[in-house]
Amino acid sequence: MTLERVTRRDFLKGTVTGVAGLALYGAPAFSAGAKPGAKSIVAVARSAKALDGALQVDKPTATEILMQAVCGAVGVKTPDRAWKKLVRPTDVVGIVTTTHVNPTHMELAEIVKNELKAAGVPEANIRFPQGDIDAAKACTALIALPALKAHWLTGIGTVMKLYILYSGKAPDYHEDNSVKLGQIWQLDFLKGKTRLVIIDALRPLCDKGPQPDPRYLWNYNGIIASTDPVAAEAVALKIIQAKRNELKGEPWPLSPPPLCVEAADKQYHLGTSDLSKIQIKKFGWTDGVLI
Amino acid sequence: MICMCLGLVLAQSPGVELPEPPYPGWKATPQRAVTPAMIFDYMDGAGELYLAYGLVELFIREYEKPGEPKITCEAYRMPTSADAFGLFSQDRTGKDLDIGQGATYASGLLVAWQGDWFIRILAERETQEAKRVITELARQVVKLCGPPGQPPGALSWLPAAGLDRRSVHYFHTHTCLNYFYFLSTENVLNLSSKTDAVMGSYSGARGRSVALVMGYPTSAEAEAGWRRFRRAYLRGLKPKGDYSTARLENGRWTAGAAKGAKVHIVLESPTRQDCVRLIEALVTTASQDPGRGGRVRVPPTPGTDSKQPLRKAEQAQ
Repeated sequence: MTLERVTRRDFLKGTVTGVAGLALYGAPAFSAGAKPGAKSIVAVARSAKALDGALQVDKPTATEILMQAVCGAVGVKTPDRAWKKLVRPTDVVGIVTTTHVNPTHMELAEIVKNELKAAGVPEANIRFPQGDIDAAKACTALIALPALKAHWLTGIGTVMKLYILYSGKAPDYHEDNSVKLGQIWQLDFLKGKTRLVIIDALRPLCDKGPQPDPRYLWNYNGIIASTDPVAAEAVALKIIQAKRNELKGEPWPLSPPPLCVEAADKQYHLGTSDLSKIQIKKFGWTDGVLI
Repeated sequence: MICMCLGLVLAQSPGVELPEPPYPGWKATPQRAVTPAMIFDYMDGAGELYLAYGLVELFIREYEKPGEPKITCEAYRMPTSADAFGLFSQDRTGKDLDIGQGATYASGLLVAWQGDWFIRILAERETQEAKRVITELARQVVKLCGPPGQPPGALSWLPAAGLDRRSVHYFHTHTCLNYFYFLSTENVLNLSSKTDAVMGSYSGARGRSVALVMGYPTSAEAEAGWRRFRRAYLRGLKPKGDYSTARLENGRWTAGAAKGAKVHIVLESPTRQDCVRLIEALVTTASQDPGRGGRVRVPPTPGTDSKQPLRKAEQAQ
């Protein structure tokens, strides 16, 4: 069985479990993607003050939690050391954001840009190449900075979906429940370039994405960061699913199940979706952390 | 005057002209029109949803006032009133409002339908003022949408007893089905823009059952859809009886049948008894409507407002 051909009964039978199974039926997660004995680190940093009453980003607070998340993900104590571990001054760094519906808060992108400059990357070598294949080709390093949202076609439309425009044929990647999104990450001009994933979880969307629906938007006020893109998405998925269950007061599985996350692990080996092989480091505000 | 801006068309369209701001202090942007070919430029992959219901065109206007959140008013013209209802049936979470043929409001979002039109009005965040504007805009927009239209005839395929009316969804495609109830990555029921499908939940003493009825263009196509479903989804279950009743791996029950141009399925039910009772009710109820699903196109009424787009006359078979 491949993930391109999956029915609901595969979840019932336990043939498909993992993070997609967790989403659909609360099945335990497993994975083959992680190195034996190694855990992928995902840092989640939050603050109740990250968004104000008008849903505007409080920049000092956002800077603080973004730095906490980045340091936590990289495993160092200071932002300076974190960014210097991730990029070199000679890199051409692309910050890839969600640009359209339910976009990344650009204040976060500016913070990342400023940190890269502080790490010695010239401003002229810091790009925003979303959707521009040539611009992405010119980059030697990428920082993925998607906004956290559910997606009515893919289950979750955050990390794995971020590079879909680079495929040049986005609709094709929605076939088979969007299982093949991880394939895009293996394109020659993208493969191996993503140094860090930072998920904008300030105001996530837990249903109906990408079109905004305020019934399912909430102030999580968080930043999720990891050098493992699949692990980052798996933790984000766990947060989304927990919020859905909380809203309904009963299990409310993501539909369709986010098979792309599982496939990114098992078929494209981009990282681990196995929550037992992910260490979640939490910083800051604990109310409503959901994980 | 037509100009291209980020793939959107500023056009004087024969469709609706969305209202001016209903209250002082607000300003409105010029109206924009979006065609199906441009929907992805406007809303990325969310456009697939509206295309799945046959979007004809979309009109947009934004309203702003200092200190208040921006409000976006969208009026979607659909090919039939059934399709407009179908979009409305996606999610009726919220408070019902007496606007148009149906409306709900929650958290700064109002959705409604009237005739062939689906209306969506959204504030970036909810305030009392924004809610007031949204509600008044909706009242004015539905007046532009012409007379009421018929809801899908397929709604009559679901027996009324025990039905959770808010759970009812009308749709056509496999993609929509998977959003409501993931069945398979493959289109195991051969759904398409030519099929009419209705789904609903039923409450029972032992739990919830989920029913699905689909109308196909011909009985041969219905039979083909049913055979494919049996092959792809019921394999290994040993379905029994006239209704292919079978127990799923999680202990719940499924059943189905193809009758004429329709396929009826109980996707899941807590007991065999509930399952059989429901499938029998589905078959009986749906047999009383020989129609395909009730996508009715109403001929224009003489003297109709020239702003209303002409609608084709086509009676569902």
